[in-house]
Amino acid sequence: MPAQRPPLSALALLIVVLLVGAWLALFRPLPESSSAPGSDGAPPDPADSALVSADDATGRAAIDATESRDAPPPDLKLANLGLEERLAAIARLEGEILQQGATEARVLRLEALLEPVLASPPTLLLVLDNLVAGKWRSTEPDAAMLDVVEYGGCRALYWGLVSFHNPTSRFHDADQGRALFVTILTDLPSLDGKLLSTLVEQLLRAEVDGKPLIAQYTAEILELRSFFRDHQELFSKLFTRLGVAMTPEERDRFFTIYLSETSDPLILGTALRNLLQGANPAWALSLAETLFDDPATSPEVRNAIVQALVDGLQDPFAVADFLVERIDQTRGNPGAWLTLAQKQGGFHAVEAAYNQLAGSNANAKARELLVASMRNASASDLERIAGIAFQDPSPGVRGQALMAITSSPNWTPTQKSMDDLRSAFAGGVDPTRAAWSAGNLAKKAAKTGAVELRDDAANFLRDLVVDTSLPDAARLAALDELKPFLSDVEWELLKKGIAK
Amino acid sequence: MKRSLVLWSALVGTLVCALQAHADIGTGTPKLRGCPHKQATHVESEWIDPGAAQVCAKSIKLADGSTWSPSCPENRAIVPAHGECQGESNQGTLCVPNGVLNVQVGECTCDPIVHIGQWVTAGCTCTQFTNAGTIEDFTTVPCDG
Repeated sequence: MPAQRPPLSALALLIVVLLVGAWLALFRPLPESSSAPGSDGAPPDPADSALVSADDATGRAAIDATESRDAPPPDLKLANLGLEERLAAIARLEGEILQQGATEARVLRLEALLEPVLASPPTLLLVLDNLVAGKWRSTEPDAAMLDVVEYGGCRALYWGLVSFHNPTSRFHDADQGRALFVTILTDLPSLDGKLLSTLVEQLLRAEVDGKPLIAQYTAEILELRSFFRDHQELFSKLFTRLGVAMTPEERDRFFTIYLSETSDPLILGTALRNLLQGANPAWALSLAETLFDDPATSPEVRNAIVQALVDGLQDPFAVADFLVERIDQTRGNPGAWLTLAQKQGGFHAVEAAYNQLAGSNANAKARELLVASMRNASASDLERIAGIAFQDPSPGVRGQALMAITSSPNWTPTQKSMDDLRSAFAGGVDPTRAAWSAGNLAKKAAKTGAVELRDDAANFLRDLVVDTSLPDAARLAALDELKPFLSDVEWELLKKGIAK
Repeated sequence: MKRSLVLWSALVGTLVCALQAHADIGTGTPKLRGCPHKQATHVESEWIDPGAAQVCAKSIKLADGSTWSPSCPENRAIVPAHGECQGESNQGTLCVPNGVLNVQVGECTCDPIVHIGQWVTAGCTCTQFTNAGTIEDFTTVPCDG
């Protein structure tokens, strides 16, 4: 059970380091080892030392053998897979299960693939070593991708963490689990990019009986956070799901001390969010207000406070009031405003705040951001935003209403909506926002195959581009929106028209 | 009466000159009087995942009860690079509004693992990016411009 803990003494760190060191000395394979033991303890397979690549026909054939549907393949074949083939097969099979369903045969096959790895903790450490050394990293086509072996390695570590900590697993071994968790934590600062975020995700999502494993390692995380000063944010991120299984009182006990961490907005925001869901949210709100209103508070901390309020405070009316009252400091945080209406009861809170301001034509910027927040409205509520597009006194707010409607996931483009857009533009709506709305409409019409509607929106955009009475910003916005619908030559020609 | 008027005029004139001289000290040219000496701070473009994460419907459960439940944000947004007035000092300039930029938001669906050849992209698929909101842009201009 997580509880508030003071920072560990140097002695505690020493003990942890000694324990991990002893464990590594006893069980971790030598770094120069380039292959893993097979499940049968056979000598290393030469295929293990090579990256799985498109031209590795043997390896690929072995991996592909695991892709046959429904019928479990012969166990012998799975048992003889080398480490890299095994990890790639785990990654591919998990994809198959998540996309096509968890049939008993598939789950059995996954368990068979995992078994030799989970039964051999040194193999899991070799996997971690190879990930850290970049052994399985080749030239990535883009930053969002991992090599299939790398991903399989991350997933094997996940199953190792969960199985070692799970008392009902036959691989349950609390000491191995602790050693593996702490070793991964210690290696995190050596990683970067997609591999780092994927491994962090494994640590964050690993839970047993609905309780995140992270909760058992808060002392170690805090110690590493203060040791690796340059990676403070990385370790703070590990606390983001910590409160999931805590009672309100536990949240209060654990998180209160982090409210003073003004140099680390991430942990401060996490702490505040948890305290707002704690036993005394009114007290937490008052703390948030005091800290936010302190002139010495940095913009980053203010953004973290706002996000914590949006995510943590239950009362959407109180959140809307906070954001509106402090519009000068909250207007630069679109993420908070965009999600405000998604809270339970949020749409009504946002609408009430908007109506209050619109009645006196006050605070146009706050009205605009409130309207932006309404984009997740239900199809019936979208009608009310359409009213704002014609009735609000501010051209910017009217333009934002058009953007909110046309970007809504619950909205379908129609000819009437295009006609409304033209008429709103004729009525003086901000032309830049009209261009962005027309772009939304054109893209959605194209996606639904409404060719005439798409062309109508594109023609409207073209009219904006060539209208020399409009500000350049509006004409350029229209030009950008037109890009998917024109040839390069046509687009360049229009662009030159604006440059003149 | 006349003498007192002359005295008052001289007094007021002296005061005005003194005030003007005082105001010019430390500000350089008269045009820089009142200049806040601030500049816009550049903020890089940023991907954000606004809102709560959705736990994906499909999960993997092993016989011993060990479970993997992927998660995915409901939305992903790109906030473009922009300028902000954060009070950064710069002699002879001020931070002024420079219009608005569009914030695009995409809708995300659970698609935890996608294989492309030997590559894996794990996470979610976020598509249908639309212009959902705006962010104000600020720039730096000279006070005597």
